[in-house]
Amino acid sequence: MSKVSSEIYQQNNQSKKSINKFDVSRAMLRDKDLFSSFHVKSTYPLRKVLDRGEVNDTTPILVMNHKAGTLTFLKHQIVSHHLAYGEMAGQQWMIIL
Amino acid sequence: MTPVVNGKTHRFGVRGLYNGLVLMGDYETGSYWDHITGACLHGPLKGYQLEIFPLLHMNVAQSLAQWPEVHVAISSELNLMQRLLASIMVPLYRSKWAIFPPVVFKMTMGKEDTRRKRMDFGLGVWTETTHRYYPLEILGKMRGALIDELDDRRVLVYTDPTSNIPAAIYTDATQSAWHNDELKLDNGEIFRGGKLYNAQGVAQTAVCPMQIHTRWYGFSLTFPGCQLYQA
Repeated sequence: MSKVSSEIYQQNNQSKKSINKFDVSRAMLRDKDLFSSFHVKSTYPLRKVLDRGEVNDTTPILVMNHKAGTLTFLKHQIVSHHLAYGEMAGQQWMIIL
Repeated sequence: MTPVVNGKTHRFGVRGLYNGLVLMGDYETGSYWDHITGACLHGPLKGYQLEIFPLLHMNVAQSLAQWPEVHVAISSELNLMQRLLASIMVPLYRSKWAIFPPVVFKMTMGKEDTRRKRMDFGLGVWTETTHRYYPLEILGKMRGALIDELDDRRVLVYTDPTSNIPAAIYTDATQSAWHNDELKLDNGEIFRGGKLYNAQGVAQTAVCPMQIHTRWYGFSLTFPGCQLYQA
């Protein structure tokens, strides 16, 4: 690391310990889902969806780079669902926003 | 993420709030999980770590440039009200006028890190040992691209001019400069139209560290004491 950047990062990187300090008193915990998750059972070639005019070049999307493969999602839909899950190439995957 | 715990697939849902962020819960054990790190924070599986992968923000053109054959998952389960709300929320998400979510979110937050404003936008990048936040404001001052070091590897942090969304990839370049909409690296590589090309013009697959396009409060409360990039 360069001198300049090492000076920048003198700040304490103490997060590993702190991550697991969960304060349940200020957590809002429910035993039921707050949003309806999106169970993905089928997918479509994005190029064809673009050609059909269902999206355009600038439509915001999310790209999941999972070990099972790459899959995209329409961001405005995931903002509502928050969580999507499914199976690809025999492997389970999940995304959450 | 991979929703598999000890070899068994678990079903997850959004089942809580903590630090102003959603918490995942699993149906099988009732445990609660951090949605950014994949770590189990509370419940029988506390301490377990889900396998995580990058979830990148971009636009359709960028994604097709990188993965021409990629598929998209389209939900048919959203009602009219949800679709309407989403059409408002997506632009608002990045807006400088964004208001903090309802009071109930704030009630779940711990002591905030005041080095940046709560709703400041940036790119959070993390590895096993390093957690670093790049404010969009700083990235803008660096003309939308900078090269940094992350655990002895160089990373290029840039804002794509076509989507205005920040991202980070590993690189061996030491300098970068924009020429119109092309980002030229001193190792001969070029970013063009959301795609990385080598010096011979052959398309390359960019390797990304874990990252999240996020508000400051979300990243700094998830990774307390995180490093803050300062130009």
